[in-house]
Amino acid sequence: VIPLDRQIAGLAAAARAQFPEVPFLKSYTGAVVAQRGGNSFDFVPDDDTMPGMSGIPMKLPFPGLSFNLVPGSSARAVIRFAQGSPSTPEIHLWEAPGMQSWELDAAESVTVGCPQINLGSSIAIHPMILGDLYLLAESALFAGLASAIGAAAGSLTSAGAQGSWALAMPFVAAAATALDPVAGLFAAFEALAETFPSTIVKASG
Amino acid sequence: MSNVVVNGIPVVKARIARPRVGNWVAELIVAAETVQQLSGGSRATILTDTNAPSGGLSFTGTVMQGRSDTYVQTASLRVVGGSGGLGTKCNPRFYSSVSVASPLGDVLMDAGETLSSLSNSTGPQLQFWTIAAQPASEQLSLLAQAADQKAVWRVLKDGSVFFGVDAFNPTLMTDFELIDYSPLEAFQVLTSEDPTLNPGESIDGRNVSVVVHLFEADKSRMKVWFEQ
Repeated sequence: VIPLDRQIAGLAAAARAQFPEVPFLKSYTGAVVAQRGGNSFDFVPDDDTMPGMSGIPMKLPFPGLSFNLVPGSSARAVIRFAQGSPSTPEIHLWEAPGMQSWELDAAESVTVGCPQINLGSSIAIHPMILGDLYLLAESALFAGLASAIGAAAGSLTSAGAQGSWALAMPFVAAAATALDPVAGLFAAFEALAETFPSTIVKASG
Repeated sequence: MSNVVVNGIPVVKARIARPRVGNWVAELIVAAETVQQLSGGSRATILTDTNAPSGGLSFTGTVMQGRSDTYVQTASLRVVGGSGGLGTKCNPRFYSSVSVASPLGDVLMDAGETLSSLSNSTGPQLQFWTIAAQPASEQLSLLAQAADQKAVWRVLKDGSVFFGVDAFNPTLMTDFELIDYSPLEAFQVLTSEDPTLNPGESIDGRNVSVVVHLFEADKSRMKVWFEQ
């Protein structure tokens, strides 16, 4: 048995020498100890046959995603080597929490195909995100209302200062005229609001 | 008596295999009473054919520990090229934005070997490089792959490590005789008073892959394997 084992050991050593990339075909777990900027991180493998590594890029499931690690967090991940090469370490598969923030950037649109989007903690539930266009329309509406009501109020004040109803009538008429745009302002806001679902959030169905 | 000596000790029979990729290995038979002077790990200088026009071949290597074996009136030795450190596991290291020369130098340092001045292809840049705790010979193979698709490493006769792409320059060995050949297996058996053919050279337009020197009491031969 011993001579046979020695022969097999020799064959195994010769075969191993033909595949020097074997250590780089495995995955290694370890700690993510720092972020270098962008999606690159410093990594310390649990296996002491591998060195600590710095500036290792994270392999993302899709483009446009980036995130920041919580400083000092005990984040853990898995590292692999693309094509079994020592020159291509990549971080995959996070094991533990450690995310501080993440961003998703898309050239055209982002579609979320669900009836409800939850923001913040579990108690903060919003049915739809409206955003900047809503704020612009709302500001235009409020400014228009303030202007019209302010003008009407001024005219009515003047009317009250007149000595007779006949003298006050033109000011009352002016107040009524000042309120004319209000209906238009609401109509404009309503028309703009009609566009929100298609420009901000693509509705499912 | 053979005209081969190791550390000045006569060699009865020698077989020295010199591959184009890897380390050379010499299997020597010496008189039993001399083997004590060639303990495992000791430096070995093998000289052949000192009367040849070129002055003969000179090999610098290391006696492998545990490979000496006394048998009847002779002892067998196995000598490998260089310091015998290519099986040493490297210290794990990581590099960013370096040339091949940087990890190559560290691997050879861990192995206790030296880089040949004939080396080339050590300039390519590596965005990252990882040295795992694996035999230095394996790291050399990985670095060669990263440096150039045609790059190789081998230990030269002088014990230094060549790293780079072979030029397959024509051999300087012009005086030789063909003893045997096999076109199918792409080898020839040659004899020469001055067997200076090296792996990585060419002979008659054919690139040499392995040279195996055979020295016995009354003859010397070279079995030459060609690249396919």
